[in-house]
Amino acid sequence: MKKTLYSILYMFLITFCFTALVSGIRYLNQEKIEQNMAMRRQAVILSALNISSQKIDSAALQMSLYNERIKQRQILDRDIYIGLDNEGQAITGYAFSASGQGFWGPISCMIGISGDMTHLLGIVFYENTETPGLGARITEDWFQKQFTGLSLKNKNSSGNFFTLSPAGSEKTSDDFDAITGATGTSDAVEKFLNRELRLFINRIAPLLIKET
Amino acid sequence: MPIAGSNKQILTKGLWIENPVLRHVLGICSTLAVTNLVINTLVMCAGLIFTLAMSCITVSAMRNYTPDRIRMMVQMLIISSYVIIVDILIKAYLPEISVALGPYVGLIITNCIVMGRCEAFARQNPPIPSMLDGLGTALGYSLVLLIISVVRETLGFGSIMGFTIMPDSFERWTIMIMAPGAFFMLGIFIWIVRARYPHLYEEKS
Repeated sequence: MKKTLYSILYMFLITFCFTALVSGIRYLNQEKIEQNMAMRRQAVILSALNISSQKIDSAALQMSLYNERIKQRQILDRDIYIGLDNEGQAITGYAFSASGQGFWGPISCMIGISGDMTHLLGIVFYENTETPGLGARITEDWFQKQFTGLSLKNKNSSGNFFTLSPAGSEKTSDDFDAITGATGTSDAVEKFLNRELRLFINRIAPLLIKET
Repeated sequence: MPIAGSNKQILTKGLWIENPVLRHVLGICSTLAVTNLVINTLVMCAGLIFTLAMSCITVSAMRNYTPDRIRMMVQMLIISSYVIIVDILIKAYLPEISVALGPYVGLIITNCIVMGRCEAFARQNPPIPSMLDGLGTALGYSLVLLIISVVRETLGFGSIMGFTIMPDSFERWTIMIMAPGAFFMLGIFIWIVRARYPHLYEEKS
């Protein structure tokens, strides 16, 4: 009985001590971690809206650019980031986060759409667990830049804005290079991006126009 | 149980003779997962070195007070705490690498090498030799991982630490980037080492 009580008390005490240690270290670094996450999100939004495609080394500079050029709205429970021109007056674009199931796990990206909602400004994939060197190549510049300028006025016979087909094959203006060796990831990206673009054009855009 | 050998012997045996990957084939989940890029491997190894050395010294310091029946729970608590600390520090000071490593830092908790050394050595020996044992074992693990990652990144991406070293005409070996490439590399590496140094790895009858 005495041994059992000692074991329970001992376990309780060391759990308390180690939890306190971890919590203390977490508390001391919480601000820095949140700042890193916010910086990363800001950089993704600025890049998707084509406001700053290069990495900004100074946190203060990025923060100031973000505050001057981005406004946030919530429409249909989704955060919409509104990009403004240099004067902070006219709307140059809208960005929103989109997610879908990839080959191995969720893929998240930020989609930037022009102010007149006619074409894409850019797409930045900021989270994925795809195979490095294969599916994870969706984060490479060449893949992401293909979508810049994609027209949102027309859909193909399947109701999609674009398709991804093998690199090197003959392409139309709404047909882009898939990633060689990562068909699963390419199919997933094509499916969820088209779905999210349809949602934006059909449901979010009318509300945004009404609001502005 | 008495300490086996001097501090120097304890530190160096994990590096080669008792190398956890080459001799015991332990901790290979992370060997397969993170070794396609040298930079990710370096951070993973640094995390494991810290976790193993600190876990061993802590388990050892508490060994005379820890009841036997709950020792595994205690060890798991200690190891998890250090791994979470490593994860917090990487998130705070190396955010880009934290994103690249994803869940693998957290998986150090389940690395058999850590609990293996705590259970086999630290809980029966004083803190300093225990820390050296953990340090030597983690360095041995890191040595193997780094060698594998250099080969995989060179053949898979044509680069080392992100710097291109292969000519443009070099055809990348896609398989080296994927998990099967790590299996092949690990198997070949263990085969070469054991064939080259049979006297070190032959079981004593």
